[in-house]
Amino acid sequence: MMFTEPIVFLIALYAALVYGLLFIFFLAYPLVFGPIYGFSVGSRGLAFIGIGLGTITGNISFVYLFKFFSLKPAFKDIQNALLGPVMIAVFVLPSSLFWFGWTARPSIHWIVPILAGFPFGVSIMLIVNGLAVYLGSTYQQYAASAFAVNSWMRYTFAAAFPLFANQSMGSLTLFFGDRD
Amino acid sequence: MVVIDGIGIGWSMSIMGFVAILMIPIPFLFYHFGDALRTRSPYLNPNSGRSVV
Repeated sequence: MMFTEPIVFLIALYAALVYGLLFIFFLAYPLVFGPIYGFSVGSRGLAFIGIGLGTITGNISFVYLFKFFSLKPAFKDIQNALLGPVMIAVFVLPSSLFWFGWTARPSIHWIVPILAGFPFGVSIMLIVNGLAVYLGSTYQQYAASAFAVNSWMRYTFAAAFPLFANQSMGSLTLFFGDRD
Repeated sequence: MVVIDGIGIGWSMSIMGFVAILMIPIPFLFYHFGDALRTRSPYLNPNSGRSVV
């Protein structure tokens, strides 16, 4: 099913990317808010409030966005109405990543990268919820198999992403010494 | 002298951002070609001519 059904494969790939990104943030936040901004170990955890509020807002707003899109004539098919919130979120996700990546430096106030967590949280929740419900409502009696592919790929990526993220973000001395 | 063993937070997140940009077409593909994909699937359409593996 993973290789023969494009819907399953693409949704699993996207969910895998989103979960990998979430786990990369678990790695990046202590690196950013510890050495760059000088947060204590306890305060580094508080930096996740941005993502936390974003995910709560994303979950709630998914319901209302779905309602909004299902009333539109272009989305009158209920399957397509599920894609409406996802179509918004796909543009928010990369912008929040660029926002976080390029504002995490000592010359910019620490609230700016934390605020980038809010659109990130909103967009991952809209994407994961929207695509998961799309998957489930498409493969009605085969939904369990489709979700098996989804979960397997998601957590494989989530386990692998922090490993190479450690390599690519490992040079905080370089970041301090030469770049800024 | 600093040993370069990484590309920093900015470019790490940018690479992820570029991958996320590559993913943008997925919901639009489903919107435009969802019906065709559902018709082609042996799971969703028994008359598709393909067999469930």
